[in-house]
This record gives sequence, structure tokens and C-alpha cells, in this order.
Amino acid sequence: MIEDISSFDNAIEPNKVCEQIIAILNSSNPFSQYILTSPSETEYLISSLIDKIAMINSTSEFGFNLDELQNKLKFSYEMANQE
Amino acid sequence: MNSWNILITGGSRGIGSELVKYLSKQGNNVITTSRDQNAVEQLIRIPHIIAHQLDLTSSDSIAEFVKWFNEQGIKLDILINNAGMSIMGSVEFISYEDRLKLFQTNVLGPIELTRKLLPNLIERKGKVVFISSDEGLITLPYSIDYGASKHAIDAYTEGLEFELRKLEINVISINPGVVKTSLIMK
Repeated sequence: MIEDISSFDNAIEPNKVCEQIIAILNSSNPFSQYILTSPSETEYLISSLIDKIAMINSTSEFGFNLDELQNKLKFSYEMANQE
Repeated sequence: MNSWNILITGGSRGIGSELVKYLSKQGNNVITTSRDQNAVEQLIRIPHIIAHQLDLTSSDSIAEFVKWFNEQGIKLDILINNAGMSIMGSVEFISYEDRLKLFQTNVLGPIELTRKLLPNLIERKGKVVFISSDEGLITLPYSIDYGASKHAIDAYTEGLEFELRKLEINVISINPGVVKTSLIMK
């Protein structure tokens, strides 16, 4: 499970990274993956992931709901930006 | 806040250096490593820090380190696999030897260290953290090997998390973007 806790502008301050890692370590039910990026990097990551999903979707015989995934990723990004 | 016994690899520079200082100031017992013996000497001078040489490209060095670590009688709460290296450049100019060193440092070494420390981690139901990168999610041109190594460690984390759940050990991957460390600011 991936948790995006982006809340930084441009490069991240080291103490912010440390604080986030402490919070993660203190979590009683942690996710297995955390992404710590600035909003601009998050935007780039999400657009790249959407491209990747689109490619997988076009080649996968199973297929999954791309629109639903795109909405979920965009929602996650918007939430991150509001923090 | 809890006080933990934390092992952080690669504590002499970058995120590792910041983590060592931060977690130590928080009152944790911090043990750190560097492959460079001179850096180890510098780290030892920081109050309340234990440091030891460790070269993740060498299975002998990893075995010697784990033997030393267990002899200290430290029960590990958290292992932070932070040490890593990067190679940038066009694929045709990156040698097999450099690529091997990168994958040993970023992937094979941390996995072997984690494997050897598992008996210690089990006792305290510890946590294993891999410091990955945003390049574990996307691969950038001219940084392909680094990105591939971070994808590998993220994939390993995903499987190991499920495998070690029965032992109540959490395995976590953290993917930072660009961090303002002294290396970036130079």
C-alpha cells in the first residue's frame, strides 16, 4: 500500500524528512511505502504513473478501470496540495 | 516518545547524517556505519553515537559487522538501510564493475545485512526501513541504474513486508524526492 504524504515545496528540508520518518516509525499500523516529495515532484510522479498505467491498461488482457485510478491519483495529489 | 536502538547505515553524509543527528538528539541509541574508516573516526566524536566500518559491497565486511554488532549486546528496534550510491551518465559509458558496485551497495548489501540481522530484530519485533527514492517509482534517463536499483529495493520491500508479517516485523520503504542536504547544496 502506498501513502503519499507530500507537503513540501521544492527540495525538502532534512529535518522535515526526519520528522516524517519518526512519525512513520511511531505509526502502529504503517503502510509499506511512503513517498516524500514536493508538490511539483508529486505532480510529475503522478503524470508519469498515469502514463505507465495507461500503457499497462492498453496491453493487459485483464484490464482495469483507468479512469477510476486516474481520479484516485488526482484526488490524492489535490489532498496533498491542500495540506 | 519511545527510545529506540537504531542502526542507520551510511551515516556520514546526506540523509543518513541528518538522521543520525536528529534521532540521537531525540534520545535514541544510534549506531551508524560508513565504508570510509576516516568518516567512522569523525562519527565516533559525536556524543552518544556508536560508529563502525561497513562496506556493503563485501559479504565478508557485512558478516564481520554483524558479528561485531551482536557482540555489543544491542537489541535492535529499527534498522534503517540508508547507505547508497548513485551513478549518472549515458548507458554506454557505465561499466559492468560500476554497475555491480551500485547494485551491491543499493540492493544486495542491504538485503544481506537485513537477513543477517533478522534474528536480532525478531527479539524486539523491530522495524526494517529501506531509504529508497522517488526514482523507485519512475526511472529517469541518465540515471537508469540508480532508478533500477531503487525499483528493486521497493519490490523487495513489498514482498518482505508480507513475508515478515508473521514475525511481527514491519518492513517500510521511504521514497524521498530531492532533499536539501549538504550534498545537494554544494
